[in-house]
Amino acid sequence: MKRMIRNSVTAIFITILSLSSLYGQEGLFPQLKGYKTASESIVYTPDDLWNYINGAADAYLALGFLELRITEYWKGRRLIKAEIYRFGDDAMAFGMYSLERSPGYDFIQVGVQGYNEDGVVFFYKDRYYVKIITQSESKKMNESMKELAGLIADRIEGKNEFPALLKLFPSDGLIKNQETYILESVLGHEFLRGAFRATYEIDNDRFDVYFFSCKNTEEASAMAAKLAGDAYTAGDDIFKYVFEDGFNGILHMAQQRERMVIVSGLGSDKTPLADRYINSLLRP
Amino acid sequence: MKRRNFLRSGLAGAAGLAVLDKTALAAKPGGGDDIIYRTLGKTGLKIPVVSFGVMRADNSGLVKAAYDGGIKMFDTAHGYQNGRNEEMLGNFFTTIPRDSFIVATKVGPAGVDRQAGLPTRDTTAEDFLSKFEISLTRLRLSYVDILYMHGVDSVQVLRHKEIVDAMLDLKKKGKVRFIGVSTHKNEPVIMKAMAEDGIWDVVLTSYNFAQTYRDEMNVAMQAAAEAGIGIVAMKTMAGGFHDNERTKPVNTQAALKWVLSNPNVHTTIPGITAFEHLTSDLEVMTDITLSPAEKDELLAAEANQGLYCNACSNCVSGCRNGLPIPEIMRAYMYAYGYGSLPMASELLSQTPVEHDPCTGCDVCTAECVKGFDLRNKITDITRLKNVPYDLIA
Repeated sequence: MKRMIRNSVTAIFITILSLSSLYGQEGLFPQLKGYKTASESIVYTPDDLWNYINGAADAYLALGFLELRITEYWKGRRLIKAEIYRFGDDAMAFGMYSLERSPGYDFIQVGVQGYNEDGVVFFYKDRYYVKIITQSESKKMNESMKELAGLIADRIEGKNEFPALLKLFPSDGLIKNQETYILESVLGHEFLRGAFRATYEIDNDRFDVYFFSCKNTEEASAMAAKLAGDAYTAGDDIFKYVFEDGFNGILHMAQQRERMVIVSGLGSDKTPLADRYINSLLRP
Repeated sequence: MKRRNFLRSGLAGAAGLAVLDKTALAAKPGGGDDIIYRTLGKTGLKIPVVSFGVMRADNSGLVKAAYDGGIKMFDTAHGYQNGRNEEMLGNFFTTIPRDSFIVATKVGPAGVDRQAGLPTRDTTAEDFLSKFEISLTRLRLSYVDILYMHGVDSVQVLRHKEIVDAMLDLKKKGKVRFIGVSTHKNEPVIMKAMAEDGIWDVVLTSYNFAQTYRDEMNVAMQAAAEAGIGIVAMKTMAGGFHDNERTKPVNTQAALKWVLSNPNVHTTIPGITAFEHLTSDLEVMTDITLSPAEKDELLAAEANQGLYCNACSNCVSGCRNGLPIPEIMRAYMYAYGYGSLPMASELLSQTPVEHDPCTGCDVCTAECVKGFDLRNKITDITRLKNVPYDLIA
C-alpha cells in the first residue's frame, strides 16, 4: 500500500514537472503558501509591452524581449506581483538585468544573481529576468518575496551561471557588478553590435573594456574595418589601432579572428595598460 | 617576433573615423541661428523642435554630443533602467551650467489597476513624492523643469486628487517648474481633460504618421494648445520599423518632419542611441520641410499600413470561431506585404486554423479597429492551408 502511495506521489510529481515544461513560461509560476493567485497570468508581447511599462519598453525590445507574464499573489489585501520577462538568449536577459542593477545593491543568491531592495527582489537566470514587487514594507512580505523568487528560480531550467564570455574578463581592477551586455549601438555606433562591457579602476584610471565575440571572422573584420577606416588591415594577426574617435575620445581597439576588444577611457600614453586587457581577451 | 602587432596609432585625430566625425554634428553649443525653436505653451520655454528621449541611451558621450549639437531638453523617467538613466544624466549635468538645459522626468503613480485604468489605495502621494525625491538625487539637481505623471491613460488617474495635489505642491515649493502627464493610450481623451482642468503645463503624448486615430489626435492637440498646454511628441518614429520583424526601417527624418508639420507640436523626443541617429535628428532641427520624396515615402508607408495588423487582439473576442485573427493577419502581411508565401504558410501551419474557417458564419461578428475586412482576408490567406509547403518553399 505504501509503495502504491509512493508511486502515485511520484507520478503526480512527474506530471507536475512535465506540465510546467509543457506550459512553458506559465508553468514557472509556483503556488506560494498562504497566498491566492489568479488562474491565468497577464501576458504582454513586444507589440504591447509599452502598455505596461511605457517608454522603458524600448530598452527591453532592443535586447530581444519576447514575452512578459505577470501573476499576482494575494494575502488578504496585501499583494506580491511576479513579472517574468523572457528574452532571446541568456546574454540578452543578463543585459537587461544588468542594465537595471547597481553595484551598491544588496545582492542575494537567487538564480544566477539577484538583489533585494525596498519592495523588490529582481534576479535573472537563463533567458529569464524576473521581478518580484510589493508595495508592502513588512518584513514578512519581504521574506515571502524572497521565497517566491527562490521557487521561480528552481522552476527555470537552463543555465544557472553568468554568460561564458563574461568570465574571460580579467579580474584585476574590475568593478564588480557593473558588467553588462549591449546588443545595439555599442559606444553609440550603430555598426557596433553585441558586446559585453566591464568597467575597471586601476590607480587613478577608470576605463571600460568592450568585448565582442562575433559569429565569424568576417563579421568581426567588418566592424573593425568600419571603426578603423582606411587604417584597417585584414589578416590572421592581431590588428591593433589607437585613435581618437570624434565622439568617445581615445579608443584602443584590437581584432583577431572573430573577437574584437575596445578599451575606452585610457589616454594614448596608457597603451601598455590597455594592451594588458586586450591581450587577455583575444585568443592566445 | 611571434606575432606581428600592428600599432597603427600615430594618434589622436590623425586617423579619425571615416564614417563618422564629430564635425558632422556642426557643434552649436547654446544653439545656432538656424535651429528652429518653438514655445512650449504657457511655460514660455523656447526650445528646439528636436529634444532628446534619453530612455535607452547609456553613453554620456552621446548626451554630450547632443548638447553640443544644440539640443536643450533631455527627457528621462524614474523607472528607466531602474534609475541608471537618471544617474547617467545627473553625472553629465554636473559638467554644464544649470540654466543651459531643460530636464523632464516622469514618476509613475503606484498601484494603478492597468486593466480598469483606475487608481487604487496604493496610488498614494507618499509613494509618488518618495520616488520624485530619489529622482532628484539621481539627477543631482535641486529642481527639475518638467515633472510628468507617467503613463496616464484614464481620466480617473489624471484627476487622482492625492497625486495632483502633490504635484502642485512640488511646483509651489520650486522643486518642479512645470507639471504635466505622459500618455500612450487614450491620448485624445486625456488631452481634452487636461485642457478642461486648467492646471497642467505640458503633455507628453505619442503622435506619429502611423496612428490610426490621427484626426482625433489633431482635434485634441488643438484643444490642448488653445488651453496653453505645451505639447511634446514621443513615439514619433512609430516604432522605427514598418514590420514586427524589424526589417523595414521607417525613414526617421520624414517621420519626425511629419510630426513637426503640426504646429501644435512644440518639440519632439526621438529616442537616440547612436551618433548616426543624432546626426540625422539634428538635421531635422534646422529643416522640418518634408521633401516631395519624403512625402511619397510616408504616403506609401501609410498605404502599406493596410497590411499591418497591430495585434491589438480586440477582434478576437468578437469571432464566433475564436480564430487567432492577429496571427492570420500576420500571415496575410507576409504573403502580400513581403511577397513571402513560405513565411505565410509556415505561420499558418502553427495555428489550428483550417482552410476557409469562416465558411460556417453568415455574418462576420469580429471587428477590426483598423477597419480590415477580416472575413475576406482570412478566407483569402487560409487557401494556403490546402497548398503543400514544398510547392511554395
